[in-house]
Amino acid sequence: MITLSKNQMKTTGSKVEDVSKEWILEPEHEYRFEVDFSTIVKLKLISGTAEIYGTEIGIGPEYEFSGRKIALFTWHGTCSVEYVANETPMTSYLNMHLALEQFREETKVRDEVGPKVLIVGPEDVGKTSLSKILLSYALRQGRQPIFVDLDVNEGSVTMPGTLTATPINQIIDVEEGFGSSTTTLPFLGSSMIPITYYYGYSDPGENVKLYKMLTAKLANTVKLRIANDKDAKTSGIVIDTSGLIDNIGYEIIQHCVDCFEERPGINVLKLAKSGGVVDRDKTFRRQTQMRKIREYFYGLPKFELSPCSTLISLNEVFIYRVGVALPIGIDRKVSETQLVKVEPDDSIRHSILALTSANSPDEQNDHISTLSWSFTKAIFDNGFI
Amino acid sequence: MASTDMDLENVRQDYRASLQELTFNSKPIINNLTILAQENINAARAIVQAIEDQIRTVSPTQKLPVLYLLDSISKNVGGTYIQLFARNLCHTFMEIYNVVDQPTKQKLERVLATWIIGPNGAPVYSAEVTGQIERALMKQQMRYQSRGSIDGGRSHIHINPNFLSGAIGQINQMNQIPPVQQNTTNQWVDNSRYSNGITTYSDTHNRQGYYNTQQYSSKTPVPQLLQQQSQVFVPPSDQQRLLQECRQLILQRQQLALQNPVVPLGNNNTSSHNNLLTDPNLLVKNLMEFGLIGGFTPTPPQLNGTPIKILHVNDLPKIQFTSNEIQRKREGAISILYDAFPLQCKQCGFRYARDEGGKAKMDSHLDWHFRQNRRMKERAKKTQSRCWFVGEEDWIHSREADTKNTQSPAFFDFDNTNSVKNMKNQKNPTGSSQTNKKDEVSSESTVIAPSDPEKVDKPCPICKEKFESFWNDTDEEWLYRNAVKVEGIFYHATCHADALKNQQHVKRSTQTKGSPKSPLKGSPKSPKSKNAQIKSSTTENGVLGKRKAETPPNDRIEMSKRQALVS
Repeated sequence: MITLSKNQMKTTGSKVEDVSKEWILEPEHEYRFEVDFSTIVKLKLISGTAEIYGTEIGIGPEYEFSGRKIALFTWHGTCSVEYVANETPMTSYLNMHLALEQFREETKVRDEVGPKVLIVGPEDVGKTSLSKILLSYALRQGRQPIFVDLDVNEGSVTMPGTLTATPINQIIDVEEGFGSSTTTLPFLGSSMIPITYYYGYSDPGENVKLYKMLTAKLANTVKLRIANDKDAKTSGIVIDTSGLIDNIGYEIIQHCVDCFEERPGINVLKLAKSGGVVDRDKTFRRQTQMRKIREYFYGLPKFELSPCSTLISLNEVFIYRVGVALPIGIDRKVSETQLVKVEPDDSIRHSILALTSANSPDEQNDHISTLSWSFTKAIFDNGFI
Repeated sequence: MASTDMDLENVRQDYRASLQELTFNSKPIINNLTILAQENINAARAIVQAIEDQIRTVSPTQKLPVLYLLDSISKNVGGTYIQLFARNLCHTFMEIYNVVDQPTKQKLERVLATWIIGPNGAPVYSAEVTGQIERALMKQQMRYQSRGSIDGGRSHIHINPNFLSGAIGQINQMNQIPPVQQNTTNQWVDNSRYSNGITTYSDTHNRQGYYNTQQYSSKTPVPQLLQQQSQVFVPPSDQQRLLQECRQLILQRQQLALQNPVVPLGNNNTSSHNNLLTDPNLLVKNLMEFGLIGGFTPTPPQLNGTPIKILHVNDLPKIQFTSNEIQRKREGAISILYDAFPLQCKQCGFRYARDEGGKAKMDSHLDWHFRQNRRMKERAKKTQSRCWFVGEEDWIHSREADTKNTQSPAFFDFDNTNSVKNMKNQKNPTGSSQTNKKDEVSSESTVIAPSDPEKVDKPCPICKEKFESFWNDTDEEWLYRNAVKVEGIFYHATCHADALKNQQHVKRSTQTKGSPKSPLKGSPKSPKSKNAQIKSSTTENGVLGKRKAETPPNDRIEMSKRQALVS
């Protein structure tokens, strides 16, 4: 038996409502709830076992959620009498994990690269949730898979507009979605170290060429890491993609496959969409993006950060933009990935700039310049004018 | 390859066309199709696929004849077909079973019974396959049963006990086992049917020679016992549940026995079975112990004797990446995630295995929690900023598997603007002010003192003076003041910086390509272009500028690695 207590605190104006409720879940049932951005829900597991997107939660501690859509699932129930429940696709997700795990065992013996999972599908079908589940299960099995996030809209690990890869080696924080807290909080001991390439748009379609180039770069980096990291090698990769399934989307997916997979033979598997998946409208997405950005600078309520503000003279920085619209007559194909120096003026006020470790960003060679800029050291608010 | 694929596809198409005729139970058509299947045994795969597709697509009333065909092929042709059908048999069978009406269900069950004991006495399909179907059937019935009880515990249920009675009739005839006493009075009808199920089950396995249940199935009238027990111990509303549980228990026992067929249950076990079955008190007690009925703490991982416990994926049959395989429920598979890792962190719920490695990991995990919690408390004292992300090279080579080393992933100290400025300055290194700053910075640099006794007393290789060590509260480590570690060797930070500076100076003044031999491994060795000067000073700034007292220990390790990489 699993018992839950849900404590809802609603802040409406100055009034604070406090509602507490207890729930009992049957085996293989899912408890789904949505929380507004203005509401905080505290969840506490009283007995039994339960997991949120594959991450098991402990008995006792309170988990706080705000502005999230959560599904809590339990495998075990009142007694050991099991029955077939098709209400959630969790069985198939577990089987998926088991199949991958078997694959890992096999490749471990042969010292080959483990499974590479590319999750594709339209928006709002639970791609990121599925990646979380698969990663979380793998982690619980003592694996260290690498999570590659190509969803520039969401920016699960760092910020929206970035392409990220990170090894998953520590429990995924259920309170904060994927990894916001897993980005390296100094001194907090989180060990998630992402590598980030800045793309700058929230839609891969906006600059396909750049997106493809960054994907290829990221894939290459990940490959290098896998060649070096034994754990990651057997554990494999889970790739989450943008919800794009039009022509450009297929092109991008094809490109991803080309980048990440060297072996011939791909298994395509259709998994059921969970009945609990909710559509997120534009406003919700925008709010999530805003929150992600906020979290990057200011941290979480649990662990606040104070952004470092510093005065920098304008002639000490070089600001570049990728693929700006150029006058007619110049081949647009070339310009899409080329860096163009921007004179700092009012237009860059209130924008996010990516900082790179490039030593000489204005090297003529397109290849070198992109190599250096695309790697994001830190992103900081443009507060210096 | 392509041509055989084509052939296969052709056979499949042809066979599918022939299958269209089979809309009613017609012996000539079935015979005909069976012969066709025999002739095309090379294309068995295609034919099996065609049949399975047919079963899936036709209307419920037309499914049974196709199953008869499947049955006919299995019995008359056999061989490859058995193997191919077996893969999906349970699925196929249940697919039909779930949609057909009561009489058809009975017919299906008769077919199943003939699979368990074929026309010539040997099973058509292996016990594994038929057992799977039986379990699925029972589960199905159980669901009806539980629904029935939700509906107010009506005694009428939608299962077809006739199957079990029918099947047992057959089996009993063949075995010459006297039919089990049946108490079919009024409301206990269903119960007795259930009990028949149990007997059937044990008989089946008895025949396979896995498990000697002869004694209790024939000597002990199970139905009576169960009823007696339910009458004695439970209020009527719980009867159904209890019965299910009893069944479950017996199933479990059998499955356990199935799992270890090599170790036949000895006399002791059998007698304990008998005890268990003859003494209702003991049975209830046992059930309690198994956690099958109330009064226990419902923490499944602690349950002993859970029917199937698969603790490692290798114990599972290979799961193919196909939709069917992925959809299928696997009993006990969830223990791979739960029971295999019984140690659970109270704070976050993460689990570890109960072995040496698992315990060590758990310990360091708890340490990590402790450090984290304390840092959270201290956070009010100093402000924190997000640290830099790592560079490509660092990311590729960074390892943070060991939780002990995850004290802080901060690669760069970010408590002042130096690092940012230095980064900017890298592009146009100028003047002496920077050099001064650098010196001042490097003298603040610290490194964790080595714990290796051999290294403890080693002086700085440059000035041959010993290091000054002190205890750092934040890091909980002994640190060396004014020190850097480059590729495993400790230097005084100032000495190292000077050495680097001198080296560059030499290079700058001489402009020679081959660099002078240097005691410092971390220094640039072969400048390739005129950019080298800039690069080398970059190295210096990049490394030393960020080295500060507050940088936590493992950073420095990373840093020194980084330095090595940069240069």
